[in-house]
Amino acid sequence: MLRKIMDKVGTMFETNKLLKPLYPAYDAIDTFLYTPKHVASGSVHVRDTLCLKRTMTTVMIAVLPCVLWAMFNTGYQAFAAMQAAGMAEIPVSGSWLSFQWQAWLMTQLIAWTKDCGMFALTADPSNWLACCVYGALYFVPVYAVTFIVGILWELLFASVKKEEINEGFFVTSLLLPLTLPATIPLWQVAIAITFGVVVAKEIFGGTGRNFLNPALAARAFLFFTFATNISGDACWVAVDGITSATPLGMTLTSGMDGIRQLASAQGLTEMQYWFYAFIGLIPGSMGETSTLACLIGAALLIYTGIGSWRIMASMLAGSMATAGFFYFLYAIGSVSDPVYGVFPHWHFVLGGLAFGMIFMATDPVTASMTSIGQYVYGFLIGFLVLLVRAVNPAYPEGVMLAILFGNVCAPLIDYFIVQANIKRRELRNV
Amino acid sequence: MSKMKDSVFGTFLVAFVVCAVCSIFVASAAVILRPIQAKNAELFKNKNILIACGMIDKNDKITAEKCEELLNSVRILKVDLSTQKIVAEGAEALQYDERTAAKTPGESVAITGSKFNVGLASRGRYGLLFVAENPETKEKRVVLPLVGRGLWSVMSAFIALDGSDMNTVKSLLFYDQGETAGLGGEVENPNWTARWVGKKAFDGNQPAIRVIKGAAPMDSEFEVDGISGATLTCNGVNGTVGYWLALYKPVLDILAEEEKMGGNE
Amino acid sequence: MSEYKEIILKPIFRNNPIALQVLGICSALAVTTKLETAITMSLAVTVVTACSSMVISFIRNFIPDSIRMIVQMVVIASFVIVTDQVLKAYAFEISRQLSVFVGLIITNCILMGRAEAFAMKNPPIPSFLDGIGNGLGYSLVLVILAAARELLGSGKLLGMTVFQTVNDGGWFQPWGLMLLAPSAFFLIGFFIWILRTFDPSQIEE
Repeated sequence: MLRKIMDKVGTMFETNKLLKPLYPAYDAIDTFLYTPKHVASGSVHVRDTLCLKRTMTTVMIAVLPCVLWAMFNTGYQAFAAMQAAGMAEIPVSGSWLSFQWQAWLMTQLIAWTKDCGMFALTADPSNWLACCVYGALYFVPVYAVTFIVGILWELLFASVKKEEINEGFFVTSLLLPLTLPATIPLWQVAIAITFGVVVAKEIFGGTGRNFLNPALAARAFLFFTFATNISGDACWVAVDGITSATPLGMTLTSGMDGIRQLASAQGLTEMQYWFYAFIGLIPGSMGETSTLACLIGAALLIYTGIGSWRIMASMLAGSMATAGFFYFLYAIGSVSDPVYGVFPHWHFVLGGLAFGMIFMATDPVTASMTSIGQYVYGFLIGFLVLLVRAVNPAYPEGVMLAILFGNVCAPLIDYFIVQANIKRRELRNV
Repeated sequence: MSKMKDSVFGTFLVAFVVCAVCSIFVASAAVILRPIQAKNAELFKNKNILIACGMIDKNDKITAEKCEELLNSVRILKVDLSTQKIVAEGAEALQYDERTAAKTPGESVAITGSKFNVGLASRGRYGLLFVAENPETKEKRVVLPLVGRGLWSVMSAFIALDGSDMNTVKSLLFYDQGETAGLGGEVENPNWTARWVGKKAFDGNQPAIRVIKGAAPMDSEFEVDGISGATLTCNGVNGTVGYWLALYKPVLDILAEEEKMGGNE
Repeated sequence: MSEYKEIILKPIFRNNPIALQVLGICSALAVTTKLETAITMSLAVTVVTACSSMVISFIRNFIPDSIRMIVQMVVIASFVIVTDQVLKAYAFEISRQLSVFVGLIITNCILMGRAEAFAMKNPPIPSFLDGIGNGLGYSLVLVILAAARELLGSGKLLGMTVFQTVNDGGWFQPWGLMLLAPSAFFLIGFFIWILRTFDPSQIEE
């Protein structure tokens, strides 16, 4: 049935002059739903069951736990913060420019579902359904804007270049919202994804030729352009007027004491709070808080062979080794800055380390290709993450910058590995 | 001709002539323009002092003569910050440059033991102080120069206190800083510095005014709204303001005493 | 006459020193956060390029080949220092903001480039005009960059408020990136992109 409709529409796009420029759009939808139309005939030399479509679909499935967690935790953090502040109702305020329509809609939903028994929504962190609904009210619009604006640019470029649109963008559009705080204004998301798609990707020739991860480039653009909306204390909790530092932000100014302070504010021991952070019950960018959800995704990526375990392992090793070294410096008293004294296992669960390590650094287009190169690349990123987190006095988080830097270095690393290989083989043949 | 110019002698001759002509050109330009430049630099400095003293507005276009005339009505003190003795007044005091002195051995004092982190290693032995009375509003102000490290740069500022109670902040003016544009750089924004006005500098003998994170309570006597996204610059501002206020406090007490005696006459 | 017009106009669009030759980028990044400084810098570079090209052209037949570059440098440096001094005397506020960048005009490749490529081979008047033309080509890019960066970065043009920023109680949220140097790279890139879309002959092989 759907096949028939698609075929009919397809001939329309192929014959109608007016619609011809939009053919890539049709082709994209068609390919996503079925197999590509232009299947190679005759003998082809592919020894693998992978294609771009399957790769991208697998990544999207791997990200799914993070997406679900993003929705739940956004709501959970908002309601928990309200509970802590003693607010019973979600405050709806703001001028026409910053009207909190999500909060308004949620209060309406709570009023409508009052009599629905177990489905009744309440602004209560223990009501997981309400948490998910409220979180979705924030996550889905951000995702929708990312997707629509981004796909329009992709279409434009595909039409001008007379190429077909491909699935690369589906992953980009899903990763970007996960790295953003819930309260990010939607128009800023639109500008950011424009930057990510046009400057980081299409200028260099589209999927497969970009040397920077487009989602991270878009985030970096936001980070430097509208810093107050994506860093600091005011943006993490989706309740108007409530500010809350992320645990990682606390470490920058007060190290482990900051974390203990947050833990005791919730009546938890340090170790319990670590598990909270591991599961993801902390404020932060929407999809990055849960190390657990990221690890589930990692398992799938490694099992299917799509994500490079070498990069993940070496990045983890690099960051933990550097964190350990900094802790050592702090313990023997060479540095007094408390941020150096944060335990390595805390660095692992805070901020976007796990998310970046599993979904961003392993992007096959922008990472190193050679096996040894992947070790070097991962270790370099891990080291840089800690360098930015501890040494830079202004930025609490360094994952984004470290990975972008790693992206830039990746071709160079590969070049040296390949050259070394050529030299070794030449020597063998003498 | 071409042979001549490429010979060793010709090369030296051309080099010499070009150098001579150019150096005369450059030197004469520098000499002719120097007085105007010196005047500009002085005007820039004096203007900032006058703005802090509340004598002129930031956007006023002002001539050097007018500036000088206004500055004559300001009492300029050069104070030994360790002994609280006034060592010079007026134009002589104005010649003093604290930043140069801070880097000169013998003229400088190492900064240690303050509970405020000003972020500098040393300061000049002396400090300047301005006492001004606006001829129209009869408002009295005491102005202290501030200098200290923010996040990336050394920031320079003037803070003006009410001349009668030596406590209420009248203005804060950052005139030189290199903080992150749009975030820490907002310390220069008059809308932000205006939030300092009316706050109290000291609680008893201790400097108490400080920038806090987020919005300060409406009725707060000592707390100023933070600049969002600029916590570290604000920490630098706190350290700087606190350090110099603490250092000048004894001098301010002496001035207040004088003021009282003057008032009784 | 039309020959002179050609000399002036060619470097502005068809052979723009920044957009085609990609010279003088460093100062284009550094001084374009505000339109005012960009215009001052443009004027300074135009004047220095024109004057130094003319002087070098005057003495071109006397310059020994072995010290050619050094002589050009000395002439350029002299003009730069004098320009810096004049700015300090008559535009103190702006020269304070430009700080070292006026002095660094010496290292601007456009000047050496024009001296070596044009002034050494042509008479004084065309050399002077060539200097003006290249200075204007440089100025064009600088002014466009600065206008975009000041408007988006602080909501102002020439220091006057166009968009009232959030910090000043308005609606406009300034684009912090525009005040950082990398944004100039992006904007120069876009400028080149647009230019070459309209004039494909500038595309490199």
